[in-house]
Amino acid sequence: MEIRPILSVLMRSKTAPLLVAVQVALSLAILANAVYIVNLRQASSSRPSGLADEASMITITARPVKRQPHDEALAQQKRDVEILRALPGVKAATWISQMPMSRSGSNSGFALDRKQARQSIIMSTFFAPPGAIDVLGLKLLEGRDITADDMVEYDAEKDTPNKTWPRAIILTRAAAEQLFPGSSAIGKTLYYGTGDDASEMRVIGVVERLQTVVAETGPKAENSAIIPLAMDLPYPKYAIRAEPGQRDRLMKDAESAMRDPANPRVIFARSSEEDRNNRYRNERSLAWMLIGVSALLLLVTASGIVGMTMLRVAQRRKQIGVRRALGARRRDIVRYFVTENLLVSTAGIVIGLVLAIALNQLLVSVLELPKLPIAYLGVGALALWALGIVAVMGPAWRAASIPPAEATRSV
Amino acid sequence: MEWMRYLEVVSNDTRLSVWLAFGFLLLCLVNTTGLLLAKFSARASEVGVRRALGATQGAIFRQFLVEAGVVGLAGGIVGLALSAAALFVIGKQARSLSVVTQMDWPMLGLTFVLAIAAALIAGLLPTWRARPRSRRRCS
Repeated sequence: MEIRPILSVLMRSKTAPLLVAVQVALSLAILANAVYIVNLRQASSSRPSGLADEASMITITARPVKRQPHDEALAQQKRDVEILRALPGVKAATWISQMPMSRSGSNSGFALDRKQARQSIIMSTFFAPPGAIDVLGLKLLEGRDITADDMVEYDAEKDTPNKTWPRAIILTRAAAEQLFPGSSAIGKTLYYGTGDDASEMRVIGVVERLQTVVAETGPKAENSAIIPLAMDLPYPKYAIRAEPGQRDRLMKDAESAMRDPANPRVIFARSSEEDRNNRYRNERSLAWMLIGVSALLLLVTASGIVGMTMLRVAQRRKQIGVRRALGARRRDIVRYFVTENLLVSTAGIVIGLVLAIALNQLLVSVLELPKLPIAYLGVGALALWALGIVAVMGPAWRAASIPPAEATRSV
Repeated sequence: MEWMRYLEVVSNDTRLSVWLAFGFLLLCLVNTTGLLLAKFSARASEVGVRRALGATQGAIFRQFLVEAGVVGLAGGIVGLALSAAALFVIGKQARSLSVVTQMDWPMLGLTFVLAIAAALIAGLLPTWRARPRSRRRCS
């Protein structure tokens, strides 16, 4: 190949090729990192929540307009569950204090030792009755579910957590491994809160997975606990498992079945799919923005390559004519410009790889992003090479169509 | 506390977007420089003629810089229309967002100035390169 003459031409007029190389470098640096972030977001938004078959899961929130007395509220809870279970198309139903990814609920600190000043872990606390884990479809890995004997009724008016508090607790595997690494959590003790007043609890079961209400981006997303506590919740919730294909109808039916003119409540149904969509809305919009910007980036870089090649063609009309007159084929002219562009974009890609790693380092240190895998750099480099070849083709063909007669013209 | 952490994640995304925007601006700056360079160097003979007819170096410099500025102005106006359209679309998505999807005039002015400044900066190098080194370029 005629690389030597191309190189010496490039060396003589550096500015335009340098600008193109810088563009390629910047695009590669941004592209590799952007695509990586999109993939990270994608992976985070498709993490399993622990709920089996999210498509058939409904949460109903029924907030009384006027706060009911403790006993009444608990009786209402039981009644509501009966109403929901009786509805056609309902496979199973339970009351529960909160649902994963729903972005509304409570969390609490737990300690391994009473003497600790700081809690060992913060967990999302799901208050639920026996059988709730079956309704949600959680996988019990060890131990047992809650029984009726474990249940404790808590009256916020007169009880305090240090006197009246459940003795049993179910952890997720993530929480169990964090608290009791290397051994089974079953039977181990844990304290709700810290200090002398902390209530002692015993781990009775471990479920595979249950995401918190926030579903954080990191491993904290699975720090959840299920506690056999019945209380008058400000936002009483019910989880319903619908028969296949019945969900949308059931969401309406359940709302109207629970409505009671004697006891006005704000009742609304939401599917777990909606919860997931709402939770990851920001992630999705960022991903789309990154995709959009990446596409524009490539477009701009392509336009830069087209512009530079057109300039170089315009500057060398006469020389191209001479070459054609001396017997060079159209192919040879095209090959010249493609090779020239490949040299320039390769230089840009080399700088770009360094820039991409530097940019990633910055993102790692400031935004706590994981390190960029090498594969992204490889794919990004290939993409920019391909882009360069495609972009240069148009102007190169136009150069090839310069007639040999151009050699005879003097201007 | 969890909620705070969650909010922090959101602001990280915002920071990421800002960086991305500046990275993109930088790329466009280099791109515009390249394109203006192509445009101006194709007109070397015009510069020669103007010089031969008595234009000073400064006048030529100004002419090209003004051209770059006009490109920036045009880009700014188109960008303004685009951002108004984008704001409208985002505002339509949710009523709660319409509070933040108002045109912020000082911000708008800043972007406009930025657009023209960027074009001028991008135009500097091509303008410098377009200056005639001698009068024989008019050929």
